[in-house]
Amino acid sequence: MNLDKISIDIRPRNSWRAFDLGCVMAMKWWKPLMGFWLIATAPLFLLACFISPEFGPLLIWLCKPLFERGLLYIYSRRVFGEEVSAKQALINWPKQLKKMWFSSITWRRLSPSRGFDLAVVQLEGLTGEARSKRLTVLHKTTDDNSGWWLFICLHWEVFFLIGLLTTINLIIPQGIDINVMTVFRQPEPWMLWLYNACLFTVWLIVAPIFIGGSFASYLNRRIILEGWDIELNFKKIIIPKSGNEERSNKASVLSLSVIFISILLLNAPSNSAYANETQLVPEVNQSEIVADAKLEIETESEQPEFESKKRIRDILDVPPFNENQTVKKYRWKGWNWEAETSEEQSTIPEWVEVLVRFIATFGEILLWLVFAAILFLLVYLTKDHILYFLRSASEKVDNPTIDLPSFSKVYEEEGLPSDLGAEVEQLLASESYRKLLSLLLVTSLIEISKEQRLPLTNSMTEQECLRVIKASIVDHRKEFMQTLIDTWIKLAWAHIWPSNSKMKLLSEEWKDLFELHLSETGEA
Amino acid sequence: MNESLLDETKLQEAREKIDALKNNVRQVLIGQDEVVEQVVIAFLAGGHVLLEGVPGLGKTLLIRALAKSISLDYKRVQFTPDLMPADVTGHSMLDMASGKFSIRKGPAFTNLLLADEINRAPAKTQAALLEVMQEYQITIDGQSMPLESPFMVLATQNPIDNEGTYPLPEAELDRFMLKVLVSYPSDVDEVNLTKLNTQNQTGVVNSQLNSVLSKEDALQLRELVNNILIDDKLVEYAVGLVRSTREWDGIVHGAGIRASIALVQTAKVKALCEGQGFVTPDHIKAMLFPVLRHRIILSAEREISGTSPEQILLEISEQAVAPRQ
Repeated sequence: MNLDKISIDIRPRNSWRAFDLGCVMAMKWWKPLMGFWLIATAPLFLLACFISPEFGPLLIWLCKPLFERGLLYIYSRRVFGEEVSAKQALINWPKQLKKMWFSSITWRRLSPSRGFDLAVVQLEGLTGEARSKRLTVLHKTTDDNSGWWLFICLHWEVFFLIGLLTTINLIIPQGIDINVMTVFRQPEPWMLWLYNACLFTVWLIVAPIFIGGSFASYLNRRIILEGWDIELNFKKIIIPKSGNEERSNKASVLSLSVIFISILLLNAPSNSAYANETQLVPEVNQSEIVADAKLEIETESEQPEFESKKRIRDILDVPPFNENQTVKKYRWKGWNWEAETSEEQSTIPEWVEVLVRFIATFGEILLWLVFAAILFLLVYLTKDHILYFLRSASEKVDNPTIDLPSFSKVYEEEGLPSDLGAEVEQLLASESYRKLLSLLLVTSLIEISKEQRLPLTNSMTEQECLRVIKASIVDHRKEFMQTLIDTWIKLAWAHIWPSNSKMKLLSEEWKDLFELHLSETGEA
Repeated sequence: MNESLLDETKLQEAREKIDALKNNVRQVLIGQDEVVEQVVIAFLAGGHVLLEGVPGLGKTLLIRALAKSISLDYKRVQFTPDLMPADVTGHSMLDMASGKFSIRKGPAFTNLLLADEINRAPAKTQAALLEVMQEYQITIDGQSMPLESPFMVLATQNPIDNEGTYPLPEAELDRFMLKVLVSYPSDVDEVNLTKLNTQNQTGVVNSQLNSVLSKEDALQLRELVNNILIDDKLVEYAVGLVRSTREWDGIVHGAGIRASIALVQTAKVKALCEGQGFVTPDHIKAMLFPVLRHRIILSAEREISGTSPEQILLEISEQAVAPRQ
């Protein structure tokens, strides 16, 4: 990293201005950014859509953080003056995926600050506890709006998407009855493809902006913490000088800047804020720094900048500016207050400290218990709702299809006879009409169901079954089934005994229509 | 094995009479065939009907047409928040001349009582109908007076505009044999209805209705219903369906025994309307919605998810195994 070659204006900004800077960066370097995004995502997006137009985009959405690493690679190089093309980014992209690739598409996928945090993993190479400490320091500010930035970009995505769909809807000529907006309700295949195309376009536009803003915000935070602007200003001061003087001054100013930064680092809340320092600060020998510092102190009074500083200090040392006033207020000092206060001389008796610590620990445990109890209570009180929604999501109303022999209770237990023709003759002769009708009915249904799928269920009445059967068959069979079921209903529910002639007629018709088929297939 | 106690001739006559009654009412109530059929079924089954529908769908017209078609007396009571029980049933009044209390009968002393917008009256007045509907008698000053047969209450309520209404208590809802939903007629029927009402002045149509059934005929038809054959398995099936509502997931409060009785009774009338001397499972299924829709209370989850009582009843009927012989 070379601050001399940095291509953006280095100065402390608030986070919103940093996001603005990110947008400007995205606009300036749109060619490599969009080029990389197109090359990297388009084939996979198309493949995913071919596999499943509904869920394919979801898969790509899930993997978006991986593609965003390529964008960050481009930004991180371009900011420091290195010309990186989409092709180069694509070649180097797999190397950027080595660290925490799995967590970034799973449990960290929905992190609101993932854009900001990506730089810590990818550029600083930190993982585990080091990463956590580093992020704690970077996020420890009241001006951390990385989560809001994600929500803003998310809204942009939605607005762009609706805008695109509306535009398409508007340009459809009148008279063509198509409403693209129905993609959300009753999507047709071509509509899904259209929607996916719009979605891809939206990602293509918004993803570089999102990563640009996040990276600019990350850079801004480091500028504030590590004083890059000060370092750079020192460097600028010595540029106009030339010759030996220039060389000596350059060395002295550089040394002074390093000392200044070192002081800043020492006063900073945590050392972890300066992780990966070898990348950030130019490597300078420590003995050289000390020697240069001495030299600098000797020549300090000769330089106009220090003269002005001295005069300012003189003014500040006399009234009314030198009136020091001590104001005591309670303020939040962060989580590591114990470490800070331990260095101070405490006037509180030890037993009081122990007592306070005990009460604090007890209170903390109590709070956690209350929290757990409330959570448990909430789950318990809403268990019916939760179970209902879980059940309604997983279960479908199951209508068991009918077991055809059970259509009549007569043959449900004993099963169908082997020789159907002889059985019909025998039942007709013995006037066992109930059994005969059952046999005719069940065998007819079995035969029809072999040719036509009969969606009969156990809850269907005879008339309902007849309606389904009549829709499946034609001609004589339809008339036969109508007569057969009517006769069966009268026998079953009206207890009206059929006449001998009617039963003979039905048996004959049954033989003509079904018996031959049954014997051929060996079903009987 | 029991056989139907009705011969074909009687069944045919009964069917013709019922069809004549239905057709007569349909002359003025166009596009509401199902409503007419269900009201006639409730009348012949000796039950009461709760009609639910937005205003202007001819609910009052239906009662008037029915009363005229059977030569019956009918009264209409508009239920309002200040209506008192005595305004419905009647009260005793001191006769200054004789110095004795005389009973002044209320509008409930009739054959067909239309309780219009029943849910606008407070619970006290609604409860006054309980005895009338269940016991077919009215008690005034400790004196019970039986109502003339046939007697039927047809109550209406508006599903919208619920501001300032008193929802009917479960006990009273259970006393209505059927709850009939009156919806808008079809496109063609609405056109015919508009033509009819613009060619003749409103009210003229109604006055032209002739009586097609005498009171005696109506009572005879009611008696015929008792002779309709129903197999024990079908009674078990009907009771099983009603009992399912008490155990069904998504129903907080299921239907009671009155529902089983009403289901079987209306199924019998339905069979008679079709000219059949016996009940089939189809008749029971056909009467499932009007008999049970007002007798079940859905759980909060199902209500929130937009499930209607009819959807739940459909689930129940689809899960119940149809009776087989």
